[in-house]
Amino acid sequence: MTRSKNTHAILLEYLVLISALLIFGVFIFLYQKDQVYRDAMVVLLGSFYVAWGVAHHIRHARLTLRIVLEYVFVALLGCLMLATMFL
Amino acid sequence: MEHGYWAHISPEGKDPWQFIQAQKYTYTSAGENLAKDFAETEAMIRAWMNSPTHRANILDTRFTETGIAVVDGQLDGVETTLVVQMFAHPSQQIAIITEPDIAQATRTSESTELTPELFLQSSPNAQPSMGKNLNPDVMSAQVVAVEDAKLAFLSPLQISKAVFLAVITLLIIVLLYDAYLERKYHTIRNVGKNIAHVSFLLFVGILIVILKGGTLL
Repeated sequence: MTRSKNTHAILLEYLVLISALLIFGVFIFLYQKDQVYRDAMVVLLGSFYVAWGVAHHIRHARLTLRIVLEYVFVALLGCLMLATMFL
Repeated sequence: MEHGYWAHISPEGKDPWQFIQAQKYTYTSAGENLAKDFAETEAMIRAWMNSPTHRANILDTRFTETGIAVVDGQLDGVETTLVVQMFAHPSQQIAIITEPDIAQATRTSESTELTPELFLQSSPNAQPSMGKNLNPDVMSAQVVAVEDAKLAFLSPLQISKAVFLAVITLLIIVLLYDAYLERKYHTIRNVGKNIAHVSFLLFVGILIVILKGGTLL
């Protein structure tokens, strides 16, 4: 893969991440008063982020358990904040 | 709150209508709206009116009486504010208020917004009726006693938001500094992408800022 193609692929991956985050943001905002939907969206958001991280590192052949745990930790932290904010 | 649950149905399986019947209030139709942890009354009303089922209860012309309880306290060890609004159409027109200090409570609720509210309305047009319930002669309504609301400097929601935003800001600063050092010293490391973590945490931070709080049932 050339450097230019690689850069395009990475940009595309980040575009997918940002777009998905925006979509999740809209849904969480719309369903913020409904505890069940809101929590479901937050869980989906965290799962998506971990899946994105794993897919990203698999594409670049750099996936290790430590990296997976890193994404899981960041996703858990963010989702726990969103889920527990209204308790 | 003292029974440690917030739901239409109690953990023992009691529904709201059993609580109404326990007070010997007879009705032909009844409804219940619940809300939790709203910082402002306006936001709660807006949320109810935006929810089709809650809005239907509020606008239902069959209901001629309502009772509202607003209680501050701890639920599962967490400070919160619960609001319960009951709607009903009584079987009989006359209401006997059994709470002795209702007059005082009503006066207090008129005097300040921060005091728990207590309403009992009776419509002059209410029809004596079919009587879903036990005693057709007497309708009584016991109003839930509520404690004085305390003026807090910061609500639990605002404190949560402040703490979470501080943690997120700190993490973002650390991640950005780490990315700066990595770039400066051309370090080769096999770790997660800082830019992705920063984007995700920034997104969570924005959500924490814009979400209003409060939950309906």
